[in-house]
Amino acid sequence: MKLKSFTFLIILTSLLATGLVWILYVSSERIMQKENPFIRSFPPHIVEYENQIDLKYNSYYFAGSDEGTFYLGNNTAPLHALEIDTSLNHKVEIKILPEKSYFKFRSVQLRVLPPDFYLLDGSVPCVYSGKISDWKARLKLEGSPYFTSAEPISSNSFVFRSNSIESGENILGTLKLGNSSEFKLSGELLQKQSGGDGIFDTDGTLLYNNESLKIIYLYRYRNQFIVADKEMNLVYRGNTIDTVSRARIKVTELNNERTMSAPPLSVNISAATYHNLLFVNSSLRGKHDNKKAWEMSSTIDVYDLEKRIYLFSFYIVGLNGKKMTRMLITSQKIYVIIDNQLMMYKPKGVLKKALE
Amino acid sequence: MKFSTSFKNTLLNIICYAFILLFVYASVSKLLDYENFRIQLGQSPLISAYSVWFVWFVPVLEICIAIALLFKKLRFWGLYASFILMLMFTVYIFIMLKYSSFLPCSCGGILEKLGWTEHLIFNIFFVIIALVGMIFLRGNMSNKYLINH
Repeated sequence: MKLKSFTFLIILTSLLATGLVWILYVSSERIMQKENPFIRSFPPHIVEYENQIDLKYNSYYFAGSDEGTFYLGNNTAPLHALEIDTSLNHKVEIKILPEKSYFKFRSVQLRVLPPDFYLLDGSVPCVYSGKISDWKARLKLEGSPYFTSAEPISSNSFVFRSNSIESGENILGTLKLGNSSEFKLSGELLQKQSGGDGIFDTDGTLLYNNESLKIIYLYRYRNQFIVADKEMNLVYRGNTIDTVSRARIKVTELNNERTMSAPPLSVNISAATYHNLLFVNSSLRGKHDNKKAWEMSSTIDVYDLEKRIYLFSFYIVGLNGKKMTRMLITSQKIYVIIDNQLMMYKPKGVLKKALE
Repeated sequence: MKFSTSFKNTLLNIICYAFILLFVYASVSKLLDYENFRIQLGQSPLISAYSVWFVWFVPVLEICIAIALLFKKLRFWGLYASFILMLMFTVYIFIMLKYSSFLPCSCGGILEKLGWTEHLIFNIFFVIIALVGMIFLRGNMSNKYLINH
């Protein structure tokens, strides 16, 4: 073969091979990022950046709030917390003191419902509680029930998500701590879809709305959420504005472990609630949504849980290529955590009105 | 650069055997852990849709290339196919590293233990040696061409 034709052959095939993989990538991206046939409304300038503080670590999450302050828990240092005033001027480090550190925490979460705080670890399982005046935690529950997520609903009572003993499917329940702790399960609230396994397809975010005293469960892989009262009586089943009514996931069993066999389509990444409003961080791009804005920001859809309607949406712009992971809504402000930064936004216009 | 013919031949043999070893090892470990491989391919954001097809195609192709490399006459095209395949793997890894948030690896066996950056270097190395092998063989091919005509 002549040098010329050899070089030509190599260059041509290199380009073809690279191009083929690139086409594969672009076509799969198009499937993931395609426009969806739903329409959002973005009223202009309804969130205004106000302030931010450096948390130094990206492992913080919102644990609860009080008049004038809110609390952050830390996933990697579970006995360390932060108390921050609502204008982000003062940051106080808190050390939580458990009465005995007999337990090895596995996935402990801090929740603050003033004047109480709780350390909840559903995989041990154990629950510690105490007062935020001294941050001394006393063991309140050990042994059953196991849970995968829990939120305090009032002093010493919780709503939790667990797995059914018979089927392994997700199930919601309430737990009351006392001399003899009691828990109650409700098999009706979470609904598995036909063909679903009741674990992945019912996965989602559990919230408790402290103002309207409602339990909210937002599915991760489909456009639905559930609103129930404190006694787990269904109030209604709502829909988010997108069109993914069926969870698009494929599950396979491998060595007795369930695993996803295709990349899942996550619809609702995270959520927060305040008063009569539900804030949903959605991963889907709506019909007329600007692609650049969608790529660079997190899209937050706001729903009115009383009127049972979608209100409007806004963007929270990402920071250095990272997007927000957590949010906290109060009557005056919106707080989000992006990587190791805590950002504060001021609601304006229709959003301000809705929060009042 | 000029190399002696015996040096070229030794190096060429080493290159071919390295590819045979790599492809036989990679394909056999994929087929032995077939279930795992099938699922990992399905999880890949790039080829999820075509994974049913890839699950057979990739290991079979690897074995075919290994066989082709055993025969002197097919060596050039064996190396050519190795070059294309390794280049495609390299571009795939590069895209996954740069653009994808989710990185499943389905290389099988010990190759799975490599980090993605090491993987990239490993692949680029194989792309280069395939190219070197082809350059050596090109000389032989043109000699034959001259002799026959």
